[in-house]
Amino acid sequence: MISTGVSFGHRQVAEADHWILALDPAPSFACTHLVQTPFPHVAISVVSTSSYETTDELRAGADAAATGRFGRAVIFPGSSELTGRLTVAELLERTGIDRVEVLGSGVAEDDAVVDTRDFVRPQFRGDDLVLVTMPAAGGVLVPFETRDPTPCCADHG
Amino acid sequence: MPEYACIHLWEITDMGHGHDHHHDHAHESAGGDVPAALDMSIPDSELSPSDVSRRGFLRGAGLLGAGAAASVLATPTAAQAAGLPHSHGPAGGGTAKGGFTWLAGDHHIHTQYSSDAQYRVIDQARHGRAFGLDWVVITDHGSVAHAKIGVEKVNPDIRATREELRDLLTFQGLEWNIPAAEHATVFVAPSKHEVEVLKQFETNYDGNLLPATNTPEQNEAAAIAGIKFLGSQVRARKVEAALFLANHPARRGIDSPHEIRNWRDADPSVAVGFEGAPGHQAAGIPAPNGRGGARGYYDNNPSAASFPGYPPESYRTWGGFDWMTSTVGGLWDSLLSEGKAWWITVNSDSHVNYLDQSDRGPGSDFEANGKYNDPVYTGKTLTTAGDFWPGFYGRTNVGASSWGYKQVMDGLRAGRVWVDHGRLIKGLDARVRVAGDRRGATGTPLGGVLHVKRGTSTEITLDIDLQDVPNWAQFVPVLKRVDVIVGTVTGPVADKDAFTAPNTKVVKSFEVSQKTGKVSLTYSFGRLDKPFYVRVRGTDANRTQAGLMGAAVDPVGPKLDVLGDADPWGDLWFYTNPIWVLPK
Repeated sequence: MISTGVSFGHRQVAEADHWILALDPAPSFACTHLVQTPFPHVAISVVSTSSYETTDELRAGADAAATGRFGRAVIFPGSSELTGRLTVAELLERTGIDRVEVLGSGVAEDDAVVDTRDFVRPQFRGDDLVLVTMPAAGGVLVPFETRDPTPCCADHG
Repeated sequence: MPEYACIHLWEITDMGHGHDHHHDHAHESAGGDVPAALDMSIPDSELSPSDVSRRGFLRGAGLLGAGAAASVLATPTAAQAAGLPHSHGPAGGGTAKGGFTWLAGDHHIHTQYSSDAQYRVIDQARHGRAFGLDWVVITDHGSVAHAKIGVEKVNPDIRATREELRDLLTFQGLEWNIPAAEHATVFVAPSKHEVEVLKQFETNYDGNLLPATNTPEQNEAAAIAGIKFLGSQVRARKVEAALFLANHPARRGIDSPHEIRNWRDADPSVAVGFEGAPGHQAAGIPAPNGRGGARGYYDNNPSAASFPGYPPESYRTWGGFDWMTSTVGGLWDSLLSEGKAWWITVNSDSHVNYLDQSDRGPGSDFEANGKYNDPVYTGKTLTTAGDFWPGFYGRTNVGASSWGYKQVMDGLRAGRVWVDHGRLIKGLDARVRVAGDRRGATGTPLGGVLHVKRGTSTEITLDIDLQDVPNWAQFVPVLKRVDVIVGTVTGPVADKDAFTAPNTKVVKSFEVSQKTGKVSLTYSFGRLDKPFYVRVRGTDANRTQAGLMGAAVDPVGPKLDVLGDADPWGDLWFYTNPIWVLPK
């Protein structure tokens, strides 16, 4: 296994996610990192048997991702099993996520139900992989990050 | 970069920057290279008639002296007495006293001249008027089509609306794509040059019309240049006033604290505040009767363009309000603690309205025409629309000296503003007073600064008219609690990206049991020992939780809005702008 920092200058996390999820063979671990060099973009760190090349002009961003903390995990232990609804206890047991929090309210109760919406992107805080959630309709928690946030100047109809 | 200013006031008031702050210097005597009208060391009586007229114009436009929104520490004596370094620029906070005419309005409204909206100007204006507004600002999106065609095309509609609805003040503005940041309302006083000024502004400074190769630094500089351009147009007498208010500031995390400070400092007579709450307040109404989304459409995540210091909490609404305003001890308080005059508003951001039954006119070609064809009735009810008509839910209440365009803009610039959702209360008179002074014509109003001797006892008096008629959801809202929030004024920050105010907290909560009539509350601040500001918040108390800075700071603050289950009518708040008390 090799840990690599790589950058293609993706402007949006969705573009970086797409690149990660298309990898074959799939990496065992992959994170996105918001980096500022040489311009604000999304760089990637990957743990994989394959290696990936970055052009010279994006090398600084790739290096920042390789050494970067606070990565947002796209592929992590158990990530493929995070579909549908499950309790916080089940989620912690089945995955590499260390902690589930509720926005503005601290650590989530073990028996709280998380509706994963099939889109879970926990984030490293220090050495802990933390999933931040928020309350949603139906008394469930949903991940803070939504797959399709409202774009600015969206069609409001 | 086109500049029409004869005089750059910010350059003049900035003279002396970089000097040692411990020596005495008279700020109002700016030196021999200053035009006489701006050299406040020359009394009016010694000016030529044309300079007197010019000075009067600038003073009237709020660009000289205490009328301009700037730092409350701009007067060296006030800063010295407070033991703080003073700021440059005109003094902030009004000195006006007594009563005002409170005019309700909405500064953020879209029409068929926006690529994502659909109504005529008259549609929005008539609804706003019917729902109780006195003033509205038409703010179509800055875009290539808008800059080229829309700015001009919408103007005849706005002028016709002014003629048709004589008791509504209808401003022309636009929603600026701030380079490197979010959107902003920019609007001007009606004038024969209003189109020219707005068009030139949009063409030269809109973020969507700038080169895509710009660096973030170049874009931030362009934003500042844009705000300065607006000020230059006022000073060149193209328009009588121009204002900037940052819209939905925390929505995407891209309005960093230093950018907000820099906009304001670029020209505090133009850049006066941000939205305390975003529009789109219907977007969280549960499905199937509503969109079932995020209140205010606040469902974004940090991106590469975001300010890395903002926490996830900042991307969501709290009691319908933006995190920058709703967090006691947060970003807004950080600015107020500095002594920066910076105001909040609310708005509809109306594009397509909840439960309306119309759609864009068939055969529309927005890119070619800069507008959609007039809307048509469809018979289909828009349960998935996220907006309310102007005036239907939120109000920005401005204390004006009388009814008029300039008076509304002056009141906004002075911060004589309180805001509410769902008509939580009917009216509010908040004044800070020397203890015991109950005369009707005294007391420092919202946005103002009370200068008193150290040791003087001061208090805030709140006269709240409880709501006695149903709001537009057909119930009479009940005010249950009023919170008094106080922060110490600690002077300019060293780090322009600071966004907390450790000395600000809720100092008093009044439980309101009275159901009708007027509630009069008084809170005593005791003897003045250090400079402070006070702001007030009220709620129906339906949804509360401890504030983000902890229960010791805000024990019963607004609650995080639930995704897909946020009935805006079940969670009502009002917020006031601050009043400062400084030693003299």
